[in-house]
Amino acid sequence: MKLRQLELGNVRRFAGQTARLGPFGDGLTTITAENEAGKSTFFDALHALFFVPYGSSSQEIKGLQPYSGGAVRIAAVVDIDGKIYQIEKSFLLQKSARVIALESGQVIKQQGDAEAWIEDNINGTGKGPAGLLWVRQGAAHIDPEGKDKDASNIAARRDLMSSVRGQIDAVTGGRRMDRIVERCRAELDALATKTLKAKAGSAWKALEDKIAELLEQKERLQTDVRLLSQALAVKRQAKSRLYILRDPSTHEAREAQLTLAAQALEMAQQHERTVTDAERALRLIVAEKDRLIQQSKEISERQARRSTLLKQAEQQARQVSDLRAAQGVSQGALQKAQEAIAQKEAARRSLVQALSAARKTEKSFTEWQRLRAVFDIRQSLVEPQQNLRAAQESLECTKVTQSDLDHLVDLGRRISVAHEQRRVQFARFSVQPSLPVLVECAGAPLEPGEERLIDRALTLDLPGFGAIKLAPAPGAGQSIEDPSDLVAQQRDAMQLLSVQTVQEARVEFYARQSAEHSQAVAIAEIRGLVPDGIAALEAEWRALCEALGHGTKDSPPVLESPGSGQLAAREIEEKIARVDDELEHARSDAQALQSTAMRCANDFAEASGVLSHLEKEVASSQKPQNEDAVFAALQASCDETNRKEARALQALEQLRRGAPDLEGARASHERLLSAQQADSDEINRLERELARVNGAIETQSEAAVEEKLAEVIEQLAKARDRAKRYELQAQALSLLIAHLAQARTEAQETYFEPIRRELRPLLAQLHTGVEFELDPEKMLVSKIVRNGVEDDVAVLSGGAYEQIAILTRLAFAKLFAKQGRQVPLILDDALVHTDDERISTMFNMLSQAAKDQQIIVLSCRTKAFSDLGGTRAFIEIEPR
Amino acid sequence: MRFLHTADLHLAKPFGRFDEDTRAALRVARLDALGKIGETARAHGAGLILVAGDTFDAEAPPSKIVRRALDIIGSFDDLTWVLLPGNHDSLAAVDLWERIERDKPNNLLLAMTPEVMELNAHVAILPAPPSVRDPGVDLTDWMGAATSGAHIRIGLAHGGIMDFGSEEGTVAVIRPDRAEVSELDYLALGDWHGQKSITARTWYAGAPEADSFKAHAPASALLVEINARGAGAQVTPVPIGRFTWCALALEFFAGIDPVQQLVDALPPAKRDKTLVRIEASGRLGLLEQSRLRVACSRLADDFHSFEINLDKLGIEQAADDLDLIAAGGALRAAADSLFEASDLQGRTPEEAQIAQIALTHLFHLAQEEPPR
Repeated sequence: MKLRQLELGNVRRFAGQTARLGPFGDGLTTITAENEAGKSTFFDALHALFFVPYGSSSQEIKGLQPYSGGAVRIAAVVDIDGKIYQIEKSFLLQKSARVIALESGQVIKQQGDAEAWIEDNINGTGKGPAGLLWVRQGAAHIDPEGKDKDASNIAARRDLMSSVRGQIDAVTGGRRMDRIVERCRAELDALATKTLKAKAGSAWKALEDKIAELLEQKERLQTDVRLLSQALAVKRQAKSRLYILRDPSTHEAREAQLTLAAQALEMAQQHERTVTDAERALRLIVAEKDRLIQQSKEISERQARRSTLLKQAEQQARQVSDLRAAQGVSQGALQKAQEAIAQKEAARRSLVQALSAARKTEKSFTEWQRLRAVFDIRQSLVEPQQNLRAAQESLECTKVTQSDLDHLVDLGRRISVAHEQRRVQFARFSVQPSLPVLVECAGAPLEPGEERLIDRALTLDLPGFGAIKLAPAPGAGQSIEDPSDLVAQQRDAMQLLSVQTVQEARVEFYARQSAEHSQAVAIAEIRGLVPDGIAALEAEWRALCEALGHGTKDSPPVLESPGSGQLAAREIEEKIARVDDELEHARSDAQALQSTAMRCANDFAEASGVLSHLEKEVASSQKPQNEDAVFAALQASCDETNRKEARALQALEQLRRGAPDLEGARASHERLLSAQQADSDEINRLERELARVNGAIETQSEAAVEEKLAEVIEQLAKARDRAKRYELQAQALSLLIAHLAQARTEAQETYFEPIRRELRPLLAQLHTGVEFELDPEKMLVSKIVRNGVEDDVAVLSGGAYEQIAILTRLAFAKLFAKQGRQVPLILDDALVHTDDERISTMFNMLSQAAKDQQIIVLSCRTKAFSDLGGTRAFIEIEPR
Repeated sequence: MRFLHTADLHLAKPFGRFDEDTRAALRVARLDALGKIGETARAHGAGLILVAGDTFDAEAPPSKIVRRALDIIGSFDDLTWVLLPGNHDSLAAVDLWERIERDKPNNLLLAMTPEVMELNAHVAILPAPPSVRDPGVDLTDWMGAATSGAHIRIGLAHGGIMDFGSEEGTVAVIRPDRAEVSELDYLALGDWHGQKSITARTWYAGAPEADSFKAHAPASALLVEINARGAGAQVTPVPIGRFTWCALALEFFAGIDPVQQLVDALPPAKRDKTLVRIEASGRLGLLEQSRLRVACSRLADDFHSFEINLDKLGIEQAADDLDLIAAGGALRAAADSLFEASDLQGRTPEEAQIAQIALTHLFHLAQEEPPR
């Protein structure tokens, strides 16, 4: 689609007038006019014509109406695929819409059909983005369907690619996709957690809670049903058992058996009592017999005891005699051993005295030896001490040190240098008067032929001639020391050292050096002889003299070693050690002998005591006189009792052989009694059990536990089915969201890649090597990267900002043009911040792009845009 | 003589999968069926009613239900009722039968032991009460040796017929020719909830009030007429049940109007007394599925209970349907990828089902969020 002409009737400043704008060429068309000329009004009206239904009374339409009111009429001549149409709309009053084919002049669509035709051919997606691409000053980044939907933003909004946006939305899903995704997310968020588990507060979670509750109920009811079944089983068994227990025939048979068993038991118990009596009589006979045997046994035992005591007393007497003899022998040996010990102790005391004397002698010899040695050292010290004193005296007389000498020599050298330098640096003069006159220099007479240096300002008085003033060259001699100062310093230094010349000082220095050497040698010798010092040696000398009673001034005698006939202390010590060993052995032997003697004495005392006791027992156990007669009588009584016992045993055996089975009778009777009691107990127990289970059964049946369990199981199954459906629903929502996101990402990539390819060379003309990111939501460049630095477009300058916005549209337009879809690009005062250099580049790009598509540029910058070229369109106004 | 043969009332059955109102209605219907049996017997001049087991659903039903049942039976004091224990209310339910024995009206006889019950000079009942829920032996064995003189011999038993099976999978042990080999004039059986004739003299009465979606004949009782010993039995079903349980398996095909198919398959009458369960299969386009869901939602209120399972209903790919989501662009791409993911090839059935739910939901949202 290409625009050819616009016509407005009664729109804003054209109240009551008809204004035309055109013609618009195939390529570039420029409209330059001053502000308020009505350029923008044409394009606001064009937007209304294409995008607002004729019946609308929206703010956008009312904004087109002039203050005087009346119908707003807008018409555009468009070229679609080579056919020319006029689209007309009248708003607010006389509302209408028409499409006229200009070739035939026929109205081909009216009203609603005309709107549909516009939608299909201008805005619709059937033929691609046939709408308009707008760029208007300051509105390049506003989201067309975002936050600014109110009427105040209509102008800004329509600056964007509303129809293109429609197509992009068609590809990426757009707001519809957003709404669907948002609904899916909201539904998923209300239903499930991020891990697709039931979310608190959701119907799913409530169902999960219900399932948990049903499971608890089921478990409880299963327990109740199990208890009910058990109770029913118990009841069945109890009733069955009670039926058997209460059978009358069984009861009668048991009673008869019990009577017979009781009779048999009574007979057996009577016989048992007879046997017991016979056993008691037998036990009395046996007891009597045992008593008689015991008495006989006691008499025999007393006799045997007497015999034994006599033998033991004799044996003990012999043992006492032997022990007495052994005690005497051990006492003798002990006495001898004690005597030997006394002898050795005396010998040891003699040896100790000898040792003390020997040690004293040895100590005295050692001290005399030391005294002699100290004396020798003292003698050796005499010479070094004399040398030391002489050196010290010499040092006291000589004061010149190495540094003193060096100082003097240095001053001499500096004096020589100063004189030499003065001779070199200062001019010299002498006077040879032809007359005998006294020539004075600086007030002092100057001898004829005497050379003087001009080292300062001098006045030379020449009698009869006058005065001659002499002066050294400026700066000459500034670095030269004053020789007279140096000589004075040298003189003072020598005076301090008490010498007259440097040579004299040098001789003194050498003498001092020799004295220092002698002093060092003497000190070294003394230290070699007495490392601890002379004072220590003298103290030791005096101490030794005092200890040995020797005079400190005397020479000590020469000593000989102690005589060979005298035992040394060490030998005496060895002897004492041997005597100590012998003493220890002797004392040990004596101790052993003493122990033996004591043991012999104890054994003897013990044996004597035992003997005394035995003798007393023998004395007390004398045989009674009638002992033999008593023993014989007891033997006769025993024989009689044995005969009685045999008879009683025989009678008892006969009774036992004829006895009935008492235990059998008793067991049979007890068994029958027990069975009868058990039946009775069981009946009681079963009746109690029945009462109990009846209560339990009634409780459970009234609670309808079986019915409730079945009901809960069925509810649980149904709830689980529903929970499973929720789970599937959550997974399905998650899957749906993922597929939608994936599809959108892929669609955006597919759609924007060609745009990037178109935009890259355009941007490169303005910024070499620039890279950029497209915001798929806003369809604009969001970031650019220049020289590796990334910038958000929002922070760019106004010029760069508008250039990028225009180039982005231009890229869209170029892409559509390549696809054979002509989309007019309208730039409404879109280049206001761009500098002259860049605006030229932009013009070039627009001119180049205009070869393939229609570009309409509106601007108030008449001069700047006069270079843009292309078709010039003008506004024509018909008079009222 | 003429009598009514019924069984398997299952009083106090819970019906837990249904909502509270339906459960209550179904429970009440079972008690009402007992009264209807009495009225039907009276109307057809039958003085005897034989209940062949499972009068109660549980071994210990609530005493209130037992009381109501006995009251209803007692209210027909001109009729003689014979109750046989079944597998649900076997002799093991001692407490139940003790209560019934204690509280029963005079016109109620309990067939509690396998011995001949001479009701009068002409009729003898030979009962085979189950001792436990699944006795595992043929309790009708004794009937062959039992003598009953010239009485009309009517066997009364509960359980499965050998080679035929039982209602609940318990061991089926009753000989199919029991009536013939034991010279019974009629063998009144309970256990199968659908009415069945095993031989000319051996019948399952079926439940008088339906209780499941199993494909049984309409719930009814059997009116039996035997004129003389060995004269054969005239058996006539008489309707009793109030509710109809309708299980439908509908296979849908794209291109065939699913709503019409559904409407055609549903019973036209007594919908308020009908419970419907539909298992849908086949494939439908998204729009057709949406229409089917809307139709189900609308029709559900006509019925006492209405369930439809669409899990096995696949999605038929139709460009028009996907166009209704979006003709192109990302939404369409998402729809296409979800459609691919709903194919079973290379996926688990659950994965495919999740994708199908997602696609259906996308369709639904797309309809609610049309392009602007």
